[in-house]
Amino acid sequence: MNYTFQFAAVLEELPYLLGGAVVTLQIAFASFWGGAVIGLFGALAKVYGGVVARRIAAGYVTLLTNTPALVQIFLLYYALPDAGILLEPMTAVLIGLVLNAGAYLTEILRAGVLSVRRSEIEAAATLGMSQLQIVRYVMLPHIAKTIYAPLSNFFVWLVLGSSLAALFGVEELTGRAINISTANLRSIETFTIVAAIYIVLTVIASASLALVGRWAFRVKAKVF
Amino acid sequence: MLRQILALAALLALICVTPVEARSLDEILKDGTLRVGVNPNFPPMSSFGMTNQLEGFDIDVGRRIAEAMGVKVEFVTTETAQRVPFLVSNRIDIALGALTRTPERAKLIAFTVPLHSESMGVITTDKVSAETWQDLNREDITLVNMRGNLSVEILKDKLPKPKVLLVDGNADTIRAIAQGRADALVENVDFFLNFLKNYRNVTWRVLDDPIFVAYCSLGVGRPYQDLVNFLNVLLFDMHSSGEINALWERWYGAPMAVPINPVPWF
Repeated sequence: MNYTFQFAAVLEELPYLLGGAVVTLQIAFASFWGGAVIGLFGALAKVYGGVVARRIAAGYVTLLTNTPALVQIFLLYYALPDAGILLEPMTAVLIGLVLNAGAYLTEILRAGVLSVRRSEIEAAATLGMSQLQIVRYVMLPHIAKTIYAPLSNFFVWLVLGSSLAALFGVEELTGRAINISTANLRSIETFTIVAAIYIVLTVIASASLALVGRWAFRVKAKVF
Repeated sequence: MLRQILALAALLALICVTPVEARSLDEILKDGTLRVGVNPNFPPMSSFGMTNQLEGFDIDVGRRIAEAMGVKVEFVTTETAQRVPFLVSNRIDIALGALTRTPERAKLIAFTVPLHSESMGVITTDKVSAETWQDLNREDITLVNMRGNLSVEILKDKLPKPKVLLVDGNADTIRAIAQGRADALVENVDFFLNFLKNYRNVTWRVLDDPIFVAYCSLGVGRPYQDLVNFLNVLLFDMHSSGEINALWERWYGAPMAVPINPVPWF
């Protein structure tokens, strides 16, 4: 083995990389919550909707979960301008990931909604609970427990998946890593450190999701 | 959780202590195959042609080198940013793809004498008011470039004011200008002219006052010097016989902007 590791060249760019990590988290959070709103409506449409709403939701999920997120963003970023719509890199990536996340979250949330037994809702109504109380004390705990694990998995996927934004000129963690590795040519060192930053990001994300789950819905999630 | 993180860290450590050294000339001759790194999205240097076979200037040069060595040639496709890492990790023996000679890169890999020159110019459209490259040093200008190009770093000094959009491939840069995402590309104009014909409704302009001239060499993995020596001797012959210029004109339709004067000692 003849290679001498030189991490110093990368470590001096650490603030620049961490700035990229912030952008990565912004993309992940924005697409997660944007997707969650779509997912909520999608799930409600699929469970409680009429024929038309169910068909539309099913079509949307089928279309978006069976094509790669990368292809969807390519369409938004490179194909739409030919139709006269010019999206900024970040906008195209966010729209793409929100639509993509919406489709997956529709299915995740649907599983949650289905996990509530009708008899429990009826029992709660008999006890005189209001609609809001039923949602808060009967439905949400069930839903939270069912969807907690797939939801945190999906959030981690979004943190990692946001790296494809680098292909569209967004300066997030992976993009910045490529930038500095082409200047310092220390690819091994650069991407080792970037991998470590991603691990830290996802560990923090999982831990905070676990804390929220435990605190708000008494989900039995391991923090560490 | 902690245990899993430790396991991951251990795995990472294992993965990153496996760089290997390049093959010596003897090893390549004995193996009978020369692995040549070329960029498949880079016409007319190298690209997949009508018959889905690699063709271009780099491909002809690669074949010629293998022929002189008496071995078979194996083309390995590399993206711009992968050229040096592929040499360092011994996935290729030599790297083509207009690899600019720089001291930074020379710390990691070895270079031969120049194969060709590259002079930086500007590709823009009639919508942008600029007569020289200095006119582009304005905040309302967006320069497009490729992640992994050396010019990204150079332009930070020469044109600090414009915004920069970094895309993934040669064709993407021209597309970004055509679609109105960016105003100009400052790069070796020769490498990008081929893509302009994809957008006939755009009035392209090329400002070719050279910003600076650089030299592209064959990149070779370290530590052995024997392959470099062999290639230097061969390149001298190919330059002085006019063979390289002939290949250049065949693929670019014009001679090199700044010719290479072969020097008989290295």
